[in-house]
Amino acid sequence: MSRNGLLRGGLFFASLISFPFLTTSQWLTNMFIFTLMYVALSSSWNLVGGYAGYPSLGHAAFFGFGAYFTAIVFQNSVGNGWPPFIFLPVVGIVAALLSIPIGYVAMKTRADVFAIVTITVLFMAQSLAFNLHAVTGGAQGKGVAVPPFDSSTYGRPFYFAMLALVALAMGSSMYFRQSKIGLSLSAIRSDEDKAHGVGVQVTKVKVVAFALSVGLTAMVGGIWAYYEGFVYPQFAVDPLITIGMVLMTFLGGRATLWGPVLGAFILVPAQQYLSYQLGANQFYLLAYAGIFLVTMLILPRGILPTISDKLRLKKKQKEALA
Amino acid sequence: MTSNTPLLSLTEVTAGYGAGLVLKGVNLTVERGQIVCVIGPNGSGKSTVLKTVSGLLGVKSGSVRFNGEEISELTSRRRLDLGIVHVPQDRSLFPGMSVHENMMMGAFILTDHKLIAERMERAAELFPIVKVRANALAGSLSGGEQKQVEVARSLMLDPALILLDEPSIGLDPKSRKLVFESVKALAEDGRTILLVEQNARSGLAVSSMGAVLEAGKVALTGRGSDLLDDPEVARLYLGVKAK
Repeated sequence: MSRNGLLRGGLFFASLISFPFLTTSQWLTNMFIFTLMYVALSSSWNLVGGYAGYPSLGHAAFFGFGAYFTAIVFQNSVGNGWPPFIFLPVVGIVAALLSIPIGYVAMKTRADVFAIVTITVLFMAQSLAFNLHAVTGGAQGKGVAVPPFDSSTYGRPFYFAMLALVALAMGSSMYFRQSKIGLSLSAIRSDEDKAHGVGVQVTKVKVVAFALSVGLTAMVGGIWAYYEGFVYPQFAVDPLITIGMVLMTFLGGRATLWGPVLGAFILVPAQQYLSYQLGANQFYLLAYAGIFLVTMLILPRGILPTISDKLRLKKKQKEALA
Repeated sequence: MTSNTPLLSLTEVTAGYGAGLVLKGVNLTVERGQIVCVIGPNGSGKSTVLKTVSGLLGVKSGSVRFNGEEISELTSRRRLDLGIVHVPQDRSLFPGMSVHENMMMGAFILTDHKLIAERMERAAELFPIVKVRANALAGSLSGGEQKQVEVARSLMLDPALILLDEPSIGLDPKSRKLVFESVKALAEDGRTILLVEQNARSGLAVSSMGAVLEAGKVALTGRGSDLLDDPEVARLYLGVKAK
């Protein structure tokens, strides 16, 4: 990693670590928790949708899995409040293992067919969440025990847990960029048959990326369920969660480290603001779509890659003139 | 194996697709450090010769020996391990990846980072484009530049034999010049190359030996310069009118 990159990362995390100590505003903390949630989600989605070029629309199924898993285990007691956080790696590992056969089958298809297969997984998961009453509580939902955290700083543990997952997702993303697995995924995205031809173990690499991506997504779902205190199927296995991850990644820039971060930091506050201004009638989704469409028309590859392309072109023109 | 053993020899090789035969008893020898150019009309089996050597196509009969060892039954991956690298006719770079990443893909089966860095450096010495355009997307390069990177990438495995399949096909004159300069650079580096080329004049000009393939058989062999002077070859493949 370059010195500039280290500096950028250090500044980013230092400011996020200090943020909760600088404000006591509940709504601001709440907004940041959701922003970090989507940073972690879109960075995780980017591992498979960005680097490998497999646009999964089924990630919310695993988000819901993490949410229900946490809710079921901690429905009666959360002890001193910390066990659900400590339990998160189990949630991630179980979701990742569960995803291996799904990924193996789904990734035999490509592009739009893969998107359709994965969205089918999402609707199957949603249907199960609604109908497996004994496990999920059906439409009545499933409650999680309330932690004994101080009410004035109630959001802080959730904030830091989300931040830890942001670090994990961005760390994975950075590792992908610098390792052979990242190179393999880029090759797969560029031309899967050629990648196979030069010795890339295509199926293995894709399934590993998918498992890691959904494992992280499930962990985020676990924290979300704990923070919300109640898991309803229409919110836990919600296509809008997947759409959010996809839009944020596309907006900031696919297959980049900072693209999903930027996308989340633009869209989540915008969504919260619009939702506040326009009420709970979901009209905010129209404005949300409008922002996205305009940005995609002006910056089709996402904000960061378009800016970096323009800077590179400018530099080239300058060199040519010199 | 003795030092006199040719690096590659094909003896009475027959091969084809389905029931039909494209190669009908090809005999060809490539010595170490030579550039051998195979010319011939369309459909004579030039590319098929390369495919039988790299293992992309199995032989039906005959023998393919590399360093004295029979390789006709080996998989293409095993032949790659022996040092036979095939640069196909179609564009084989990853267009969405940078030049540097494409070079790294050429060394994908290697694990020694130091060795990879050394070979990258060596390839960049021969083909400066590898360094100059390292961050450019391969898809944004011209056809000739892409071919140069493909050839440079083949060096990442330090091949004993490079199979070049019509490297100048579909390129404009300027790009073609770049490609043949690349072949010359490889020759000066002491590489052994089996080159298949539609552009007979340029192909033979950079080659030490040439072979004319007709209807699946080698009809004529000789030094590249001798074939260029051969009136029959000139009439058939170089576009020179018979006197």
